[in-house]
Amino acid sequence: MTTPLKSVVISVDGVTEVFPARSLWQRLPARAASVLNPRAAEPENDALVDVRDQDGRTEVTVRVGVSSEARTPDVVRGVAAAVRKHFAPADVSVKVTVARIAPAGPVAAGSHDA
Amino acid sequence: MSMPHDTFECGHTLEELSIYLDTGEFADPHHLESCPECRNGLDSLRRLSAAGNELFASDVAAAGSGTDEWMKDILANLALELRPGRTIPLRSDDPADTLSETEGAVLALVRSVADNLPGTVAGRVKLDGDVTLPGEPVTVRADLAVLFGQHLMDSAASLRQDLAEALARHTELTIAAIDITITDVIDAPREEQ
Amino acid sequence: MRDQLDLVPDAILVGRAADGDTAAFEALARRYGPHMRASARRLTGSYADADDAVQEALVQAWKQLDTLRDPAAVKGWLLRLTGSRSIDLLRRRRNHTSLAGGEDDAPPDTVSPGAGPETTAVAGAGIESLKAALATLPEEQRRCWILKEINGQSYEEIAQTLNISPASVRGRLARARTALVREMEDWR
Repeated sequence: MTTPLKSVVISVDGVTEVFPARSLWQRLPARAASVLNPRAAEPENDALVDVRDQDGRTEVTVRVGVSSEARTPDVVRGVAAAVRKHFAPADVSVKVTVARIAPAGPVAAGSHDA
Repeated sequence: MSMPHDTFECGHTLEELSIYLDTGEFADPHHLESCPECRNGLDSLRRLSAAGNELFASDVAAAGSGTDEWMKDILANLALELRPGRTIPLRSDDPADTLSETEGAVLALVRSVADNLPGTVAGRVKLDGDVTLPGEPVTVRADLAVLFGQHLMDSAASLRQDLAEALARHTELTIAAIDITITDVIDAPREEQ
Repeated sequence: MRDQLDLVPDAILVGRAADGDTAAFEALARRYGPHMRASARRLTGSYADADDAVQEALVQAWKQLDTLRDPAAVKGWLLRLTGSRSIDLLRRRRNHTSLAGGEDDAPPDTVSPGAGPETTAVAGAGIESLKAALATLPEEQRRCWILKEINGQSYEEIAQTLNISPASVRGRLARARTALVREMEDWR
């Protein structure tokens, strides 16, 4: 269900990564390549995009990494717009958090890689 | 394993001498200059200390380098919890949306800008001010280590400019000032002494 | 960038790590890991336990970096954490073995006194006789000696690690040295 939504998010210009949406900071291993690197296998239990109904309205939560070559505020608004378009005509509220701003491409040297 | 209480003929013990070596405390310091037994005892303790240093050096050598596989394995197992810090709001086009970036992401951005300048490495970085309220003035304070030979004022000036650009590009913070403190000048490769 | 971090002083790395920079923390771990490992091996007497102790010490260090008053003193702090975690590990082992019935004062002798597979360097005669002498010490004395001579801890710090009084540390250390000197003289 949420997988197509993930590809909607990752295809927004400037988005480099999509992180598991919830209970993250407590759980996310800083070095887990499978989480940080979109090319690696996705962990099964962590939904990358969280969609839930809140008082009759659909609430979508997304956490992303943004390329340092992009403009973060524009990218984030682009993500919100893409998610809204994906759900249209349903009315959704979108929550986007940027957890990392770093050079695009393979996980940057000296940051999280082994 | 019961040690006989090793008392010298002069009445002092190796234990007293051991404490003397650590603390400099000894009831009768002049005695140490003239007593052959105590001086032999001190020599033995110093030999022990030298052997201890050798053992330490050989143990550390046997432990391997911090860049070896064993340390990579340990680091991979650590699963360090990230530190998001405060939530910094970003404007949204739709009032129903909540857009933000984490303070941790912005601090990392500041560090990477400083690290990418030639000859500089970021230290501690602080965002002073209430970053959770749009429009609040925020002062960026960054510690900086500069490699020896770099012009300090030039390094600070180009960093200030690069940071201003990066923060304008990636945040909507109202930056009141960028304070850079050069805390270290690095002159040579360092290793554990 | 990795090389660059390996060049900078401890205090810088500690500041960055406290800000959440995992790369800076890893540079610290690489810098002091071998010393931590050496200390843990002497204390636990086991290669596997030593690496567990180092790992636990690093986890604790990451969580408690904010409590480190003097960032430049990180090396001593890491070694104190390593010492405490090693002693904890030994206590857990001890409880296990006493439950199992076999209560013995000697540690599992994987590391000391014999030369393990990793101590291939031609060790001086002093080292060899010291290793043999260490093996004859009562455990509490040996711990004091290692915490003092390998970790460079003060009497106060050793007292906290071992949960005994500084006066006991002083006494045990002095007795340890006396015994070591005697043992080593027998070997000469």
